[in-house]
Amino acid sequence: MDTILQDGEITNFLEACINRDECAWDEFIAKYSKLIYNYIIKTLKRYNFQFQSDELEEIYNRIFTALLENDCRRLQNFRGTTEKSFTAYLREICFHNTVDFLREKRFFLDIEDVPESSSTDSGFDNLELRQLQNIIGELKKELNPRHQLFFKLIFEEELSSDEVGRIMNLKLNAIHQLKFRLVNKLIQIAKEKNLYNDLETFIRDF
Amino acid sequence: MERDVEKLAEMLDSISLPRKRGDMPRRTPDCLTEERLEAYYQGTLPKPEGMEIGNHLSNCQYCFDRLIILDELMAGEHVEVPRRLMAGARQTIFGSSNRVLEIVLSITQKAIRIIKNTGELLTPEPVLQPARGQEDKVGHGQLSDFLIISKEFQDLKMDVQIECVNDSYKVILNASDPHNGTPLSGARLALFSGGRELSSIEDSEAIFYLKLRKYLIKVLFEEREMGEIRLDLRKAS
Repeated sequence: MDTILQDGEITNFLEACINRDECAWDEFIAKYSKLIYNYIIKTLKRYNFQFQSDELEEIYNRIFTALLENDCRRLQNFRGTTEKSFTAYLREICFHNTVDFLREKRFFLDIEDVPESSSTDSGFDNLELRQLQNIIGELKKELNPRHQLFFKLIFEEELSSDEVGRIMNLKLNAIHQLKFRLVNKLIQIAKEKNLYNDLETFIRDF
Repeated sequence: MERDVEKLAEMLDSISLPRKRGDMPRRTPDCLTEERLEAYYQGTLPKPEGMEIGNHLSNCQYCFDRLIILDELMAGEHVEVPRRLMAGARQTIFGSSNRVLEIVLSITQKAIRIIKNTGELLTPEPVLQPARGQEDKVGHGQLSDFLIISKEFQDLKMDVQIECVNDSYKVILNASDPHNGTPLSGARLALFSGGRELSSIEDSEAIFYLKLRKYLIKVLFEEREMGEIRLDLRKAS
């Protein structure tokens, strides 16, 4: 994005867009195309959708069409006063349109829910791995929300410590501490739920 | 015990755990706006609010996915937009505005003021004086104001004449061939208001008597939508 609009200026700028002011729309395209385009790409990647350039183009155009629909209703509905809040609002529009596109492609129905087995990494066969996943799933349910979020990021999403740090606003050493506390908590829960013997078997065999 | 913790951590690192990636993300009324999500991501929220959002994120795949995408957007690499696409967006915007005639009028008993007009005005402006010689048309010696606006929609030209007639507004629509001005057979003019179709005339000319409100007139030619007229008749304040 080039220049940042000052607080309040965004209202006038969007008003000009709503009135189909050519210069305003040229500025809109120049300012926000990159955000729209990259947001679509990141969303498609998030859902592991292998896209072609024409599909990317279709979603990008769809977002502009959505902005223009019903006398630019979406722009009219924006209630914020800062450019920052508008870019957040625009991301929301991008997300909805990209997900709608994936829905239309029936993408969510086709995707495999369970990731590829990593039995070769862990040494467990698929059945054992499924049992272990079930135990972990049971234990995870008992974690507090903060630990659950951390668990999702670090073990399910397999994000790096840097990424988890950015998302949860944690420093690197805090992440290591939190990870230790979390795993410790899982063991405690396993004991409380009489699942420790099963879990310990897996730990021993690992 | 510590050994168990280390081994379990190592094991969790090495196995793949099912994540609900394949589920269709669904928004719930409790879901976060992007603005709040960004504030959480940037750590600018008061602690209790941050914790509340953290709780929501641990249970909501819809918001969780958006958080991950936001992180990717903020911290990941960005690619340039192909110029062709930006030109296409321009076409989407201005191509569509070429198919829309927008008329917003502020009306008193004696004059019509144009608030907005995206067509070509064929009568004087900005304030139209009472038209001479119109008294007979209206009757009862009342004055009638009128204006004519024209716009070309692809291969079709529309003339819109608006007159004040007592308490209603007579709108005459004419569809013609832009090249020779002859009436266009095969045209259909459909009048909508509040999302409902009020009337539809299969002719090159239609006359509607309207009240003060917003209307949408779809101009179709051989059932292909050529353009639309957005007419907003407002009472002058």
